[in-house]
Amino acid sequence: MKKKAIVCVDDESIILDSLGEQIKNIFGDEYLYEAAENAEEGLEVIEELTEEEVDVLVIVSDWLMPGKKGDEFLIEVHKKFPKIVKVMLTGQADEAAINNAIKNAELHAYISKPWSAEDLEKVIKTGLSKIENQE
Amino acid sequence: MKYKQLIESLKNEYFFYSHNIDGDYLYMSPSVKAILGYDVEEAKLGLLKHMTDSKLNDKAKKTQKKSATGVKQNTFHLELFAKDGSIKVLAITESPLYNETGELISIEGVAHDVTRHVEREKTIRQQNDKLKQQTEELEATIADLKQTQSQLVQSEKMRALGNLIAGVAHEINTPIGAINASIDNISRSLDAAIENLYILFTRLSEHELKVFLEVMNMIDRKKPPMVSKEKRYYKKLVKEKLDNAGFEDTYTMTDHVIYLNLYKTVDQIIALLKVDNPEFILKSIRDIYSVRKNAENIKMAVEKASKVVYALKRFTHKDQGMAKELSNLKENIDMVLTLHHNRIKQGIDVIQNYDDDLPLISCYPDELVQVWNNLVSNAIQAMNNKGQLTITIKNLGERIQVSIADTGCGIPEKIQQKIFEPFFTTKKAGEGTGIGLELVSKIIEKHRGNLEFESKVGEGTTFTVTLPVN
Repeated sequence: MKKKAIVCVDDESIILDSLGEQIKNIFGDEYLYEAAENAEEGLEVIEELTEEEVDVLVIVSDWLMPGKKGDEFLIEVHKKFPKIVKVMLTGQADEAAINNAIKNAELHAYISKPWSAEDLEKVIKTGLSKIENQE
Repeated sequence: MKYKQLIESLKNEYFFYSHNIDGDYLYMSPSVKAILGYDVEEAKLGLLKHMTDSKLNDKAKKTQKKSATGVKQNTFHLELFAKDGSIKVLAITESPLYNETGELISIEGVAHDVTRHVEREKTIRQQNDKLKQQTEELEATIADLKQTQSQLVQSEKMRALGNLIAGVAHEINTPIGAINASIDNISRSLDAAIENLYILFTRLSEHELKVFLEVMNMIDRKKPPMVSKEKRYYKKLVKEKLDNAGFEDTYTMTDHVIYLNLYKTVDQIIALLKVDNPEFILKSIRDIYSVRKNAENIKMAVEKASKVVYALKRFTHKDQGMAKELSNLKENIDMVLTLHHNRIKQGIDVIQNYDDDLPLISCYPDELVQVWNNLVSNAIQAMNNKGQLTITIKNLGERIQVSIADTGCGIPEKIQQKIFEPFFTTKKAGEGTGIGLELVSKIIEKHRGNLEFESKVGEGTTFTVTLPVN
């Protein structure tokens, strides 16, 4: 069976570590969990995983990062990998950026920091079921 | 009568008189007519009956009475109605005259018309009063202005704070998010660890338990955390080794090895893990170690949030009227960078050239924070969040020099003269009060420091602040 992955992108290691572990705790060993510290690396990770025949299902990305911002990153991902479910997780709500991501990257959901495990679980689960329905 | 002629020649100002001990006038000089309008004979009937009703005269009466008894008195003022009804003020100097046997025979007096002097004095006094009042009003206005200035300084601070706050909210929400998630992770791991315990105690062989403890002891707690790129590199390496060793579910096992910081000793681990359920052993260790790892994450997050809160507190603090204190400029500046971290990380390289041996300087640290904040904030704005911000702190012995250089748009030459003027701003209405740099120069002045800048359109601007150490 093809392995499936969830990728987190955030420039803060304290977020990346805790979020990654939390998602793993919720969804178990069925998925791989990869992390990237910026948009560029995020794209690299997705491409690498795809090459290794791992299906990237969900991306959880911060918005405010050095270099490319979350909305631009997700739009780029959307162009190359339209099937991936895109979630934005950020401490600073920039309405224009969220609207940009909704319009141009089919943003699945937006969660603000600090987030609750329940919200995170719900958002990722609805995202995953969206993919299952497509298949 | 000596000098009679002399005195009479001053007829527009003086008249002269003498009266006996009964008060009957013996002499009255004709100039009395020029001064009071009364004829000599009319005046001789007595001048005191023309007195006005005033406090001045109450005193004059007493003095005159004593003088009449032959006791020499000082010159006194007397207010009289002249014949035309106008009021005249006379300065009276009386002298007793005694005969050879020491008997008082008469009183001689000189009356000096001081009406105009008194009036002039009165006018001067009135003008003085008016001046005093104006001075008081001016002082009150200055006090008001000072109050307004201090309110402006405070409102400039608050405006700067308003600009920072969205970024600061992010800076605080991020660690809170991490703390929340770590707490969630700890409770889930503990639940799992408790479940594992039963299996560990009942189903594992003695050898497997030994492996469990040995692997547990191999965890290097001091290993610094890896960046994601490094992690991915080791992940591949570890997975390859595990695959080659013939393990099942190597994705999950790799994840455990990386999590436990065992990637450098993976060969030893592989050798140890030749047991029935290697994944379970790693998972059990992981569930225990997770508590420590997440606790460390919480600690880092708390430090991060505290740093931001401390910077905010220092930023809004008002130290007016306080004494100078010894302060570390480097910390002072780094604190401002903390507040701007959010904007900086979007594309600004910060280069910090700090001399190693920087002494503490005697200053008003909270005011200097306003200086650095204004200069850093302007620099970031000039670069539109992208470029290079170079902060240099040099130890010049008696003085410390701080320069803040940006690679931004620069200041056009024609407005360079104006930038320190209050209310001059190139920012849009509502974005700047135009007192930021004025405030900076005032604070530097207060510290007896020096502020200079150099700017080239399209290349950037450097502000240099020099402050005395003591």
